[in-house]
Amino acid sequence: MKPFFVRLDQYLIRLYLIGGYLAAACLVTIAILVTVSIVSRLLSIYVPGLTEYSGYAMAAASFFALAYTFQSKGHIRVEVLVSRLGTMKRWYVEVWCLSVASIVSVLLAAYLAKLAYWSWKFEEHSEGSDAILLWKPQVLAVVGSVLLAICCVHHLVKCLLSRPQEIESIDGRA
Amino acid sequence: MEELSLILIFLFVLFLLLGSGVWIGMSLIGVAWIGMLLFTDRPVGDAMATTIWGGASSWTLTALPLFIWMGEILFRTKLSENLFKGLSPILWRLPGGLLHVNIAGCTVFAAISGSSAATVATVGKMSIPELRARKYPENMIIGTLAGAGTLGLLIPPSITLIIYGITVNESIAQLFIAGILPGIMLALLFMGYVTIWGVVTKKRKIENIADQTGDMKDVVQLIPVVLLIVGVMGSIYLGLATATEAAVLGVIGALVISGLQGSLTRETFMTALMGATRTSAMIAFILAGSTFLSLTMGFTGLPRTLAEWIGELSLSPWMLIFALLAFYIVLGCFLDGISSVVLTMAVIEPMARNAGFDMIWFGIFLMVAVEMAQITPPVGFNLFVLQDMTGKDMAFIARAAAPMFLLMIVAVCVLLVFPELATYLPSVMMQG
Repeated sequence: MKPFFVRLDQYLIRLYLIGGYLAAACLVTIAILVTVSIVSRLLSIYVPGLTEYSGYAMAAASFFALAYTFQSKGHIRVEVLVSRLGTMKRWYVEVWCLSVASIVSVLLAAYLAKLAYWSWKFEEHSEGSDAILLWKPQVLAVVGSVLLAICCVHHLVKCLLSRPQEIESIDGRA
Repeated sequence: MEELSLILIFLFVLFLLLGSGVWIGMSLIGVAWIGMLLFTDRPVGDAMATTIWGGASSWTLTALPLFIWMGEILFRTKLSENLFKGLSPILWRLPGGLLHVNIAGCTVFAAISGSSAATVATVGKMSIPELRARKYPENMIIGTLAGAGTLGLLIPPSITLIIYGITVNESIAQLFIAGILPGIMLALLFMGYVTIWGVVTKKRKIENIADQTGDMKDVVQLIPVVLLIVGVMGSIYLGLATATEAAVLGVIGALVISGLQGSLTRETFMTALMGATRTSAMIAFILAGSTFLSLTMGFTGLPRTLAEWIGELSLSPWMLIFALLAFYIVLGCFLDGISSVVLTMAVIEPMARNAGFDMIWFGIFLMVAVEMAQITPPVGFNLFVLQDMTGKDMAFIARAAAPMFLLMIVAVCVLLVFPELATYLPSVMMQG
């Protein structure tokens, strides 16, 4: 591959890793929020919105980590058939899989962005006791899903540019 | 007729995407999308975004990453080293000797890690060399590991059980408590088998002295982890904590244990955290896909038709359960446990409710069914792990695991005859 692509590849991988770290931070946030809810209940203090915030942190943790998980081959797939194919066929299957993944992830990112946009436009509030503007947590999910879309397209392009012998499949356990 | 051909197209796309190796989360979203196009005129993308956002930001989901995190932390303590040494002084006297360590070790490890494959790998890594050195027959070493490794799905906190609870909207706390007795029963069945084998072959007499390894000091090492698990489950059972809250207590406890053991470094903390982040993102993505797919399934009418059809057949519960068992074992040839639960529940849930099954009980049954799939060839994940670890061929491993498979069928029968085994504890627990 050309040096430009190599460098781009490295930058993108770093970008996904940052997403992973953000997700990890969200996971720690969930733990802290739940701890606060336990402690506040023991002290009979009412802190509104804790469950909702945990939910948003959960969504953020999941979405932020999607690309990072994809990059580190953490997403599972059915490997029974793919693993039995020869190099050339395997390349075609890989291109097919990555194409589907790219389409799905781009659609997901686009429509989540649309959802967040309408929440922002109509100033939708959460129905829970937190009553915050819904677009705020939704934007986090949008960022995560955009990262995943970039990641899928990145791997599709990379696969198309490599020769069949060079592809390392993004395989998971399944 | 047109309806039928649409359903066939829908199912074809499902199998095409999954079978060709498209990542499971992506496949579910893709097939749901196509299903929406086939069966409704609704704006597909907006429906997808709303459903996925709603599902992903749900509070009940938070128990998932926290329990995974707890497991990841404990996984990196000295627990796995201590397990063999700590259990053998207690168990070596039994007929069948140290093979019991495989089973008890898997049971303990299952409680801290929700994953079957990880349980088999971790326990096997320590016990296989030790057992081989003492000349235990290879088929017994492998069989007990393969069988007991599956306990991870049943013994709480089980990740797959959380997934089931979220998918069918049943209390995760109740499911956890329901899994305890059947899990112990299954472990006892395995141990009973080893004991009988030990008596018949007089294995104990031969290796008595060589079997002694570790002493009471090593037993004591295991106490903190056992206390942690009992504490986490106890707080749920007594209604002191919800599943999520108990999970946080578990994380804190795990950090304390690993700190006291001196295995808590910046590096292990980060690896555990990032590992938990990855695993939970993987599962959350599959769940996101499945919530969208459930929405589509509703429009296809498939679940209702199937439920009515099964209803008209008026099968006895036994026949229905064994049909489902066969179905899940076949499905397990292609999919891992979590995926098969998530993929089928949209269709199976109405049917199971229609047939009058208690959904808590059904969840426990489902775990046993999915466990059995893990040790059936050609694709059983526990078998793969064992193949890697022992270098034996698949046929040998599958044969070694076969007795365990039969014991699990016994377990399903016991669950059918005595459903209270699963439903009693949840019925008397305090509601938190």
